[in-house]
Amino acid sequence: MRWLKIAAVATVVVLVGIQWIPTPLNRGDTRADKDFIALYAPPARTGTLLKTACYDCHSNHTDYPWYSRFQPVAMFLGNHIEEGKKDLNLSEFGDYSPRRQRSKLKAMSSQIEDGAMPLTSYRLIHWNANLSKADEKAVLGWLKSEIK
Amino acid sequence: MKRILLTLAVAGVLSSCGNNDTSKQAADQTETAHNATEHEEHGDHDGHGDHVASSVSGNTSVNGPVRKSDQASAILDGYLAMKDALASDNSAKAAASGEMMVKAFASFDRASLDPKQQASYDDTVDDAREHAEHIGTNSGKIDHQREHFDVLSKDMTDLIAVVGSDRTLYQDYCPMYNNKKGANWLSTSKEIKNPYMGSKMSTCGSMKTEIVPQ
Ligand code: HEC
Repeated sequence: MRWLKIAAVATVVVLVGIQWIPTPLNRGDTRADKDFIALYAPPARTGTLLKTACYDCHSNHTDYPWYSRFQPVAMFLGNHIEEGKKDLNLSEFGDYSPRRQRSKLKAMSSQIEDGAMPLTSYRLIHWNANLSKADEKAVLGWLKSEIK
Repeated sequence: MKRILLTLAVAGVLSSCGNNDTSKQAADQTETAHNATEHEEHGDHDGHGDHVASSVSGNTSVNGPVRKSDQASAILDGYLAMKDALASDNSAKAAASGEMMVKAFASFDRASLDPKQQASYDDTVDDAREHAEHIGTNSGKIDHQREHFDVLSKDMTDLIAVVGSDRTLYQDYCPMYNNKKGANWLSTSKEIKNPYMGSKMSTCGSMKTEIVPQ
């Protein structure tokens, strides 16, 4: 019983303690002339879906759900953002060469088709990011019409 | 009688390249119907659709035959090793070949190209390097590696058009891959060993072009 109490207190101490670990906010440059949605002008619904399902990890601007400012969620998300932006940055899409833009479009479509994106771990903490089958179809249909 | 005909028809479908694809076909059809109803939503996208396709589709610079040159031989070695690895379902080896390619890109003698060639080279290699890298870090996910190999193969075809090749290459085509969208790859032998379908449909595909450097 005593051990249980100690373990409980220790857990609380750790959880409170890690709140001081800083995680930088992802709020960098977003310019309309480089932005994916501004450049490709998808239908409104597709644009909204991409914004909610992909932009948090693949752009320079994350809309943080309130609970994501708490550790360890913040670290976890921060890490995904860093890795995600390395592979695909929708805020700087206009900086990719036409060839790379095409590659990225194709990768986006494949990732959605394979159910690999948005990351499962993220869907668990960010329920809005879940794409329904109908959402997927709308987004994929559009992406494919852009790839040709 | 009806039954026999049906059996024959089914057997016919199964023995062609596209076995196990009948259910997909049905799915595709419902998808088409679905898209039709959704058309008004897509609205005016046609006006925006062409900016990427126009500048990239096809080869960047196939003016005349491919040059005979061994400049890209290390890159080709890596690519062909990757192709063989994927054809034999060996994801780890495909990843290792991806790393080989990244090294080969790094040690490529870019300065030997003229400025116009350099521009095409940079454009192609920026993309190709990323695919090679990604295949390198995705050991264990062979389907995902193949998705990137598809685009990488296109880059390689464009690349040798700029920097030349030291060997005869065959451009092969697999019509089945990617829900029948099809995909190309390069090979040094006339024999088909399909890197997209792996051992389960190893001989599916055909040779499209013979590239003889001169
Ligand atoms: C929780 C953050 C997160 C969200 C949300 C997310 N991604 Fe990703 N994405 C990542 C990370 C991390 C990587 C890099 C690691 C990897 O490849 O698994 C990545 C990689 C990618 C890649 C590159 C992989 C490749 O094959 O080249 C693409 C394309 C991609 N994501 C598309 C999307 C799309 C489209 C969406 C929305 C439907 C999305 N992502 C949503 C985190 C995310």
